[in-house]
Amino acid sequence: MHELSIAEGILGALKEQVKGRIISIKLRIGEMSGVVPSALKFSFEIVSKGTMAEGATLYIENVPLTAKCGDCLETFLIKDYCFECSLCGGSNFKVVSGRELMIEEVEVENKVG
Amino acid sequence: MKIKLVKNILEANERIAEENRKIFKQNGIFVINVMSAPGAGKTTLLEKTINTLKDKIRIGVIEGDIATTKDAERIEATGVPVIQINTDGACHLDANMVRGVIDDLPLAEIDLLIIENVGNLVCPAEFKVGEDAKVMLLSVTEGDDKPLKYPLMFSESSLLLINKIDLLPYTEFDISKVKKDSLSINPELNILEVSAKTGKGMDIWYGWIQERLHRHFLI
Repeated sequence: MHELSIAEGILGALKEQVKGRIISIKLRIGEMSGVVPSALKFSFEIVSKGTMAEGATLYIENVPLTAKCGDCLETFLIKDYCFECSLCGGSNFKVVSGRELMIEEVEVENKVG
Repeated sequence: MKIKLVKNILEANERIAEENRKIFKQNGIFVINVMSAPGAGKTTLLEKTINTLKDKIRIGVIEGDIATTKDAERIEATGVPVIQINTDGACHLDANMVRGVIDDLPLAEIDLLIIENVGNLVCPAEFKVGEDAKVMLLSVTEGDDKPLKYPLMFSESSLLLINKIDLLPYTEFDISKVKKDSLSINPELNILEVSAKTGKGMDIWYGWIQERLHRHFLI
């Protein structure tokens, strides 16, 4: 549901940092962000109309939710939001990935001549 | 030509949220962002809280709703300053919406600002608005599967109020399961059981507010 705001966020960031027509955008979206890729693509299509990013392709890389255990130092995948260390069963851990909402790379059209 | 950016999409929102936070801090205001699904009892909780604490603490409210001023009218009846934000369809408040109404609040006359977010268990958790603490409500009629279905809000909140506990006998809601799941997502989460309607457990919530306010002004 918040994909429209996120699409606006992407466009805002691009307007600040990129000049020229945008062909494609690579995103890293964390599992825990609750972003639905198809909804984000649809929202971006709408907000980018008439801008330098109109028609740009969104490539979305989903980043799995992982955590690092503070006791045994194991880095593990969190499945079904079961937050305990897969090695020692402890709950003293830090989430290390899965919260990302990042623009990774942008491809812009080469100027002729 | 490919350009590496590595840029946080929500950076603009977070920048404005930080500006809001500075404005609140300069004015000595402690800010709570209250979030929940629609109908969990946010406005009733606010009404009861304001009526109980308004003689001790100077309170102000920002009401976020997709449309209508119904909630703001209920808060207005308590006599504290309230500003309504209608998001016109957006499913959450963002920092810029809050920035837009800050100047309409009598900042010098407020110690505690309560921002009631749009009723939604997903999106508000992703957008900082300049708050010092996020408080979420989960009512027992919503079911005990919510922490695992909507983990982000549970992981972002400082306090979970399990509301409508007067209705527990009529539901299958398993409080110990909700506590266990919530704490596995966020080990630092404080959890209180309340009924805003009957007043049960509310004294501990009022104590939490006063303790946090006290701590905020000491720092």
